[in-house]
Amino acid sequence: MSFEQKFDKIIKHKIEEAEFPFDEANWAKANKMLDAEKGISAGKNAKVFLLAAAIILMLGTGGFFTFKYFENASSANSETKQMTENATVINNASNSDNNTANSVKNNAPNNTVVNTAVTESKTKNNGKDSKNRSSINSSDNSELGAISNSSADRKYSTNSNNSSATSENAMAKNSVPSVENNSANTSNSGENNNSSASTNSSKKNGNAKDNQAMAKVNTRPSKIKPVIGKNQSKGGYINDVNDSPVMYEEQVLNYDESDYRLLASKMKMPFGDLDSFSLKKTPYDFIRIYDDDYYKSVRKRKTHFMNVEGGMAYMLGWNVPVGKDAKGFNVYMGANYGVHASKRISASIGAQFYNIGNIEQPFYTGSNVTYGFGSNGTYTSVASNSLFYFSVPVKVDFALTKYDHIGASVNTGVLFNGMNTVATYEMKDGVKSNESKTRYTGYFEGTNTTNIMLGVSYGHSFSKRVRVNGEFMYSISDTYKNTATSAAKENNMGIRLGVQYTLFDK
Amino acid sequence: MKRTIQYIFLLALCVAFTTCKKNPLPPDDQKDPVFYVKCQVDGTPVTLEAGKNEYYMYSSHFQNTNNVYVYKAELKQKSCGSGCGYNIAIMFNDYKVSAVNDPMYPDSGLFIGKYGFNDGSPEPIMYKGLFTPISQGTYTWTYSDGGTSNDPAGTHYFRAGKDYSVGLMVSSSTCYGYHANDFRIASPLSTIITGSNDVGATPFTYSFTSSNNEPGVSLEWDFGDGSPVVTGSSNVVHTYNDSTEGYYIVRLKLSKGGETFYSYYQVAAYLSQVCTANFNSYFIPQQNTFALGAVTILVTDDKGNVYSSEMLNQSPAYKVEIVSVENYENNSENHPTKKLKIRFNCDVKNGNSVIKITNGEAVIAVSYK
Repeated sequence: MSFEQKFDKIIKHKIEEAEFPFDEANWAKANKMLDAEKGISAGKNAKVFLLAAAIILMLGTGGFFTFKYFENASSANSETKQMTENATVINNASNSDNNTANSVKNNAPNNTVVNTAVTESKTKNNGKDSKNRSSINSSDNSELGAISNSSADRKYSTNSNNSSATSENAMAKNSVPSVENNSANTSNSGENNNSSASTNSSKKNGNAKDNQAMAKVNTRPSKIKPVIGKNQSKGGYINDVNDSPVMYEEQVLNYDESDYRLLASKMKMPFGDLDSFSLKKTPYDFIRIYDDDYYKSVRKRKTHFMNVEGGMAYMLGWNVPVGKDAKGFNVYMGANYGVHASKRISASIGAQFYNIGNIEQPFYTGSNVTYGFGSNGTYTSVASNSLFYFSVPVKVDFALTKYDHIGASVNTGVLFNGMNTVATYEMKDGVKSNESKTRYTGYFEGTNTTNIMLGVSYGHSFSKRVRVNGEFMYSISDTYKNTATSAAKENNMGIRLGVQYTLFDK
Repeated sequence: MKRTIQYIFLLALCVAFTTCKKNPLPPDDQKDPVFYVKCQVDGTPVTLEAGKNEYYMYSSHFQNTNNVYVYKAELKQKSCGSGCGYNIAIMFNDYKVSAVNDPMYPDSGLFIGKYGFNDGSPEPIMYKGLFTPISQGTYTWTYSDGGTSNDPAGTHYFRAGKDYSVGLMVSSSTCYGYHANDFRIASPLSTIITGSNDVGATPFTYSFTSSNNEPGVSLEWDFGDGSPVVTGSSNVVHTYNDSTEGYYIVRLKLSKGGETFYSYYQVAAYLSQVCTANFNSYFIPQQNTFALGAVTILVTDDKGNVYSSEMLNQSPAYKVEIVSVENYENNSENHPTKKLKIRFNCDVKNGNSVIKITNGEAVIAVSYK
């Protein structure tokens, strides 16, 4: 049995043994996935933001849940990835099935063989065959009906997008001659109806029996509908498609050079005249092109990233009766996990530690005073010298260029610790005595445990992983709670300057 | 890598939240100051409180050049040097001139009532009461402030603004009687009742007259025989039942602004001439040369300028009223003190500058010996 016959038999066997019940719901689902893949649907963005919202909720519930979050997030990520791959596979499958069940064939040399055969037959038969082809084409189109045409149109645009991008990649990476790319892709992105027509014409020309069988599949109305439905079928079809290239690759890989030379000579393939090296390279290049088209290009698309950051913050402090308090340098550090919403826009959420230091003035003074002609009492003042916050920064980043980014953030911090000075003294009629100071860790009642800061930032990437960020922060929260006697505002603001290191971005 | 980050993150959280400690704030036991001055200075509310902002209530006393004791309370900042804020001093002259180093009688000198200002023409603080009995006999005069006398005509000095009771007991071979009347000295509610009758023609018909002609004072006559009260007039006529001879007490109720005062007159409703303990009263104001019982208020501004109430005549409406008097603890000089709650309004002057102090309320301390 010749290679051509072998291949045809495989295709025939595969197609015939598969059952493809038509399911309208799957069709709608596949449409959604196609839209999502094209990036024109808001569904994908919504999914991204829903995921981000879920992460925020989880982080907000505390450390335990944050830890849980990472586990959930990783599983969610793998799910997302799986879904993306599935969608891609389905999409590719759909693309490949734009006109007939040719997900494999469209890019396969066999398809090219078929097309080549058509070309050959066209050359030989000229007008007659053209007539036949025309008639068959018209009958095929009418048989395919509105569904297949419309779906073909819709899928066509997707497919052409993908294939054009992929073919460029493939060209760049694999240095595959453009002629070969065209042979693989043009058949897919070109006039798809021609493939069925070509197949039919090949049937008319009597090139191969198996080709006739394929032609039957393509032209029989009863088979076409299942073919369309099959493309939407997620379960069986995905496995089918996944299996097919593997099986095909194995078969192709099992051929030796002589097989290809034979194939080339028989089928007059474009690479038929190539030298040994080029010929040997060809199937591998095909596989690479195939992978690039259907897998690698998807994997290369960056969907999420994680980075760590740290730096200094210069805070301007707040007004106190004797000037400014909390003015000076502070530190921050943290990690962020984010998703790319688009090529330019990304959103991230993270965990961060920062402090507000350089606080000198007491925020509270308590006293136990006995009044008479004057007063005699004990006074205690509490000053929080430094407050430490754990925060969850939520950032949206916009890439101005490859290296320059601007962003906005909401940083919700929870106070978890502090360094305080408690000063105690006695005072009798204005004369101080027995002064003492004690250091306390923790934080005192009267301190707001939540600090919400809004920020706008600019970042410049110095390498793929290192970026320097400058950020203006403004706290919309009072650092201390207002009391009946004190309604002072302690809204801090300042500038952060830090370095961000990308752990991964894939 | 991710796992490592997770562990680091979790560890950091654990460290953070286990070291987290919420400390309670020290207690804040705020009490109200005992001594203070609150008033409006030219319409601006001012509060000075002893024990806050280093204000201290200084209590003292001294004897002035007229040998009149002065009770002094001063609220000012302690140890403020030249940067002191406003302070205020309130001084009460004693009601009498005392010998040098005589003891002080704060219960007489500091009483609940209104005081005039020592402004150069101080109001009379003392009134001389003259009492003349109607019936013949021997007399015993008793005064509510502790004085007694057996003189035919009672003579006694009274403090303006205070309430007194004067009693007369008459005894002779033919009669014996007692009557007491109340007086509020130099008050809008003070009065003296006079009564008369024609013993021969209408022995049971009396005419009564009240000396009080103050506007706004309402009068209410109760003749003491169960007959309806008569209101509105300072001159009334009443006829007692001739079948029920006896002594009746006429009571005149004077009311103004929620305050009331009662004055009494004894009637002997008999056909025959009987003795009565009733007496006529007369009060003569005494010139207040030494400003006895007068009040002086001094205000010192933050530049050290002293404004005094002595430098101008105060409005007749301006008074200092002692609302309450209490014993308080000894001061830093170990002198006993009185805690006074007062209300006041006044003008104080420095050169051509006048400060109007209104709605003043203060709790102050003065010492005595």
